[in-house]
Amino acid sequence: MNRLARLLRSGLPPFFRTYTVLPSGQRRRTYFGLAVLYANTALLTHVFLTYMYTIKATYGISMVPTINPVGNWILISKRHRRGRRIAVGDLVSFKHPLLEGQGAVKRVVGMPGDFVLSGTPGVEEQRMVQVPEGHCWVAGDNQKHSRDSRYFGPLPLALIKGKVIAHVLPLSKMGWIENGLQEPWDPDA
Amino acid sequence: MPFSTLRPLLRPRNLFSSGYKILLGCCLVVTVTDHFVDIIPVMGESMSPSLSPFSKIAGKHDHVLLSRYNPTKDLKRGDIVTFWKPHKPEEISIKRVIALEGDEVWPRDRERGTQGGYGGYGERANYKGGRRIKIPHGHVWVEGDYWRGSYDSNDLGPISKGLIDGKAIGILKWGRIEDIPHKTEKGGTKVIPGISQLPKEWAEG
Repeated sequence: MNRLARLLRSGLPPFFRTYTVLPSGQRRRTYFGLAVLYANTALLTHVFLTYMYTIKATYGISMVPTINPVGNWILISKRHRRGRRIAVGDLVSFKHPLLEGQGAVKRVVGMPGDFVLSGTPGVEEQRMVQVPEGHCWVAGDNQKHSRDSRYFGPLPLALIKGKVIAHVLPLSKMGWIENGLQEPWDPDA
Repeated sequence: MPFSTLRPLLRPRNLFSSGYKILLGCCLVVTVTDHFVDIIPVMGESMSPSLSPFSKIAGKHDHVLLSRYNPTKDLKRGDIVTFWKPHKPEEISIKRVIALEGDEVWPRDRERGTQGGYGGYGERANYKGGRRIKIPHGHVWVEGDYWRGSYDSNDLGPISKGLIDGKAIGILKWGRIEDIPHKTEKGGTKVIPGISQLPKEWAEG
């Protein structure tokens, strides 16, 4: 411990110094110092993009008209990862359960315990299924051209990477995304 | 560390700088454990006798060295992986890969097993064994080595590869890294190797 304290007081060996002191008393950053600065910035940015918020481009027609087929950038809140504080009606970004390394954006239509229809309403024969524990049921807004829980079944909440909270890029669409779903309300009650 | 060493860090003019350094250190640890290597304790007896055989009896947990770098790349039958539990999104489980995508498995009859049942839905609800299951694309079949006390694919069904977040590459014993023992006991699940193809709904587009 004594040795550590002495090392802290004496400073780092020359190669690891992040700055040199000029005769005028000014400090000048060394190349090593510059590398450390870049590495630190990259580290902080990476952790922020992984755990806080990120902006991503989307591609595909499954979420028309909510999200454009091309050229749509969205803001994703990673604080909702693994289904934290996700409710029915939210847009979520998740790892695709069948296609490794791919992601998708869909709307949550059922949370654990909810009963959902397993097929497309009014098109095919469907069954009422209960969403199992720890899973959710996702569907695209463009029901005809969306490959979602109707194909791969309930989605584990652990695959959810984040919640889509805003449109960023087509300037006409820019703004927060609100969950339009309201609790059922009976005026007579 | 004696207080005299720590005290300069707490002076007001150093407080911001030391806070920044602590933040950077946390970020570094998180990044390394997320993307490169991590060491985790194996709680529970589901992987005994390979891992933590005395977990329940004596409370002794083995520590496992995990590779978090591309864990699903070149996955083989017999590898030990960690994954987020499909039924509990905030918990991690460690099991052995028994079958890969495209394989077919005959799970053992679990009527007499500890957990019993298959938490699936639709046709596969309350599945009790004795039938062939084809592993879907992008999924694997995982099982614990100790079948009596393991909550695994026999209860949960095939696991998506997206849930897998690490591969066990060694076990920490006596301060050294040792190989993980292979599975010695023959499990009841039969595997027929196969090749997986992209489902036709995705192959078109």
